Amino acid sequence: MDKRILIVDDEESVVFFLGENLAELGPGYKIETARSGEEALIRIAKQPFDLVITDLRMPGVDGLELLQTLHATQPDTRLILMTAYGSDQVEAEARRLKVYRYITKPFKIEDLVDAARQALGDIALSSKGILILSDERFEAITRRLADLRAEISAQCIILADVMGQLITQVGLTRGMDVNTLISLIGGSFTTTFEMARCLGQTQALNLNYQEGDRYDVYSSNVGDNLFLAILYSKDVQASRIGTVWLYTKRAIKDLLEITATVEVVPPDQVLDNDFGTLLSDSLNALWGE
Amino acid sequence: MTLLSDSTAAQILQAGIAAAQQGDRARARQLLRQVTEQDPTQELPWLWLAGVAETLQEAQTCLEIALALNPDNRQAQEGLRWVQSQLPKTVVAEVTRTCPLCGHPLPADESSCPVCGQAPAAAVAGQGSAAGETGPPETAPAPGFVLSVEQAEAIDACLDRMAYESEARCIILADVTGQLITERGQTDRMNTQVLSALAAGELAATHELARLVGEEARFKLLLHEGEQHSVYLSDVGEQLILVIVFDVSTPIGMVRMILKRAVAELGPILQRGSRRADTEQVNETLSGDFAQLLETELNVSLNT
Amino acid sequence: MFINWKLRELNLKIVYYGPAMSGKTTNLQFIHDHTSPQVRGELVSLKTREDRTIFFDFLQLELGQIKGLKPKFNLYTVPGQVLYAASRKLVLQGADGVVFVADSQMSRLADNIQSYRAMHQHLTELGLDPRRMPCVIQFNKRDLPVLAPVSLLTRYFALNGSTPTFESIATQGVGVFETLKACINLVMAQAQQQL
Repeated sequence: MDKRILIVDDEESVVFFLGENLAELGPGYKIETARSGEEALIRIAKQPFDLVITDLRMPGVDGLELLQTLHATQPDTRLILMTAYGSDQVEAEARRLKVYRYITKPFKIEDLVDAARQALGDIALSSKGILILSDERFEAITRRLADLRAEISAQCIILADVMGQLITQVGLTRGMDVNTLISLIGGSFTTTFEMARCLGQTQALNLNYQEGDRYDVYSSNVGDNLFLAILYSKDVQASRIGTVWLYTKRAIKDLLEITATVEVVPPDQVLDNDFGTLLSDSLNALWGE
Repeated sequence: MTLLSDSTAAQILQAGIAAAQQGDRARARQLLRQVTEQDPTQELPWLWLAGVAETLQEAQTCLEIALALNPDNRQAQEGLRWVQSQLPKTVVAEVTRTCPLCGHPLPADESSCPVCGQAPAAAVAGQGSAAGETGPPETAPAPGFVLSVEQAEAIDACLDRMAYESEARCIILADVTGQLITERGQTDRMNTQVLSALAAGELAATHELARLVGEEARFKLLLHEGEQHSVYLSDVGEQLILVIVFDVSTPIGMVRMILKRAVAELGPILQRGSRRADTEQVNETLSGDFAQLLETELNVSLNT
Repeated sequence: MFINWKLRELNLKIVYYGPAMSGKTTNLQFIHDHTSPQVRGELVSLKTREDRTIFFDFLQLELGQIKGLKPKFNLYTVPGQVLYAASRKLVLQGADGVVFVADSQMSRLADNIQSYRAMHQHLTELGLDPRRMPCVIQFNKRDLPVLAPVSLLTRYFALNGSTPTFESIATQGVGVFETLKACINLVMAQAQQQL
């Protein structure tokens, strides 16, 4: 099912320009335009939209009024407000209306396209082992890791899944090959689980600690699928296992909450036939026919 | 390879069996091989081929194929069990001579490894792809890791002491490739073989990790803290790894101390080097009329 | 499979499985040596001093953007020796596709079969349906003497024509890329169906 976007602005050139650029989002997005607040309301009444991007200053029904109506009648619609005339009042009202993004002009068009994409990012945690993370979740996770890093003064923290895929990281990895790091720690982790089973126990929480002269590495699982790796550079800051473990446990609890609530909404047309063909071509170009 | 009709194949099989029963091994082999090439999915020809095989290795292969085709085949199971029971248990570690290139067990009368073709004694130049995955070796390869009886006894004493003095639930000693060497403590519920292999893999990952993050030496201590137990892993020199399981209440300081002592004691024991005499004893067992004895045994079991 | 919308990445895991010394690591080494450094990472090999894989080899390939997504392939090999059965299973976790590297020599026939069976067993234990796992079979070492003919090998693996097979000489790179490409394409086809 296509994602429906409505662009509302009284200037033709703006509407056209935004429409052209948003088309870059690709198939799966249907873009409509309206030249006034009234027209927008008519269109919305016909069929709801997933995202409405509107200017603030328009004759007749202005942006704010439009958003207020939407907020009341269609709370599921995501909202983006554009304006050159921002004020504290407007901002406060936008916040109240839970506007997804409040964009002040002039802005870079890429930022708007990104905002649109993010506003419509779907959350899905697989059935069938396909993990897809929305931008919101992603940001919430990254923020929590940044907080943890500050609490324990680590050099860097990485969140990955036990199969070895990076999810996000905070801090400095200083030229280290993060992917390899993850595959190694991930490998260690799956081994730890298995060793625990050999010892006759299945443990909910596993903390691994590797103590070196210059570096300490802590890692812990986050639920069944993810793990956290914390790297300390001892020149900068010594680590104390008790402290680290205390704060890490809390962070893990929060991370579990963030990743737990999920609606399973598979993204459509992500990998269509085109993708497969293009990929095949890429590979042939790389390695020959 | 000419295609034979099913009936022809059946006839050849019968002829091959008859030849085997009459003692004409060469002819039996020829006929049976034809049959297996024609239809390799039948166990029976493979079983008979095992009985008339020229070498121990060939017999083993044939039995394994039969077993692979049908894991419930009792004759194949028994035949293989017998073959394996003939390989003697050695002092503490795996002391059978192994091919230095691929690690396959290597009886004394074999001049080259049946798996990778590597001639174990001297450097072999220009063997091409028969040298296997890693390419032809450049220097004479080292023999497999061997523990002498003295070393084994010293290690046992050291571990006994450690088990007594520490509060460890169990202690496992393995070689760096993951072969279990010995264990102490409450290990009856544990699969310590698998644990050793896993620990070895994990240590390998850790070493690489250390290298990656820029830790010059290796990590000194590897700890898994669980809810009830903690598991500590450590290298002991270049050859061995130590896995110790403690109750989670044991303070880490104490564990560090115990590990340090263990490494300090075990290190010198390993340095002492192995005795050639032990290796020779193993080789003696495997040579000579071993192959004949096996064949007789197989013929007996296959004829029932 | 893991799609990271934030980073616009598509992550796939492909595992090279097979009996000891069949050429799994050699495959990865060849891919590493003959792929532009911009597209691949370093080859990580966790192995013993005798160059036997003890845990896994790992190589990451990262292609440029295709339709806004960056495909990243994580290639793993399993350790082949009997001793490491548990580790093999761990490496198989999360596999999106498998390349089974068989040793074409007659003397390794039994080992190939056992390994293939074990792989199916592990997949089942991991909750993955072996019949639906994208799989490509590579008959390696076609340059050695005393080979099992391809027809024989095919019969052993009970292939019904839908599993692609490739003959190869991994030490020389023959068939290496073809195998990998085929596996990747299979994995993509499967993924498209699922999504």
